[in-house]
Amino acid sequence: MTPLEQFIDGILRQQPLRRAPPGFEARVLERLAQQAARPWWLQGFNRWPKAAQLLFLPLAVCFVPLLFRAAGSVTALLQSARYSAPLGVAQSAASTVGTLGHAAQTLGDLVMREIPSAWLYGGVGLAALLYVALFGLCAAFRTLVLTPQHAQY
Amino acid sequence: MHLSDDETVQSPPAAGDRNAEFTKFMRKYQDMVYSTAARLSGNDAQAEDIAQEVFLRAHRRFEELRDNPRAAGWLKTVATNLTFTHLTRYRKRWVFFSQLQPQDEDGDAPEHEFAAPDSVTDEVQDDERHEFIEAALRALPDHQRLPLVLFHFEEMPYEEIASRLRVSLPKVKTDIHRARQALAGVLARRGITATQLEA
Repeated sequence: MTPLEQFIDGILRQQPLRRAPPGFEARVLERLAQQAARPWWLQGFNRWPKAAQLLFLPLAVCFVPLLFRAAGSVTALLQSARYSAPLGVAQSAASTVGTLGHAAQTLGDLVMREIPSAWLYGGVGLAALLYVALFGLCAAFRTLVLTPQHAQY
Repeated sequence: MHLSDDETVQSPPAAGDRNAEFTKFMRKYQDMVYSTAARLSGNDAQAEDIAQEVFLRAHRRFEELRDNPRAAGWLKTVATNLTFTHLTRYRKRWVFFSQLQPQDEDGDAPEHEFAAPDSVTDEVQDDERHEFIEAALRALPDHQRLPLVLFHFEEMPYEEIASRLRVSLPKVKTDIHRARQALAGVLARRGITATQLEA
């Protein structure tokens, strides 16, 4: 141990613990009381009652098809609104969405019909290659430029 | 029993006795937890937030911690980890700002100045001296204070510090050395020297 190290070590070891601020204890207890007062469903999943935890998973699994079904119903409703009763804003929004969807479909058809499939596969492959190359470059940058000697913490 | 800082445990319903015991537990360890967070972060307000989070976690695991001789170690580890998380979260921000600050020839940030009390005498009272040393520590740049605190207060070896801070071993040694030099310089100007320490 060098004299400097010894001196600083001695100084720092003599330092007493810093006192927590006067209101600290009350602050923590208040926070705990707030947490305890929250209903169980607003607390973390691990603090839910066991029965609720067990019920949650099957309900969540059932919720996904229900969500799809609801989305389908809303779409059907919008479609029917488009052809039947005039619903003002909703009808015009449905019409816009429908037009956009139709345009996207036409573009897709055009691409599939006009561009040779070899080009399409090549494009997808190139995109994947560039994506991998980006990761490689990032890794190289981290290794070569952000070496530990230069890194800040 | 193995204690890890990231496990979560179902706590039983709070009772009056349990709260009283937890308050006692908190009184016993709050200064230690706060000191760890404050010295590492160099910021009292952040340290208070971190210490609060430590005790909120401790409350969830109180059944395991209340009579556990390793409770102090667990609290210290959680305080250190949370401070690291906090510092890492703002890392990019302070790297950016640290790059805006002027650097000296060795690439070190310039020495920070802080107000010293007027009553500078040869014989500095203990409390005043302790406060002065804490202020000197806070004034050190982050990249010097962190490894210094980990080495001298947490007794962490150089290798572990390098690994935790994700920097090279030579950099850790250099930073700690410069931190010691900076601290010794500030203390010497205040009249605190090795001779006075021995006396």
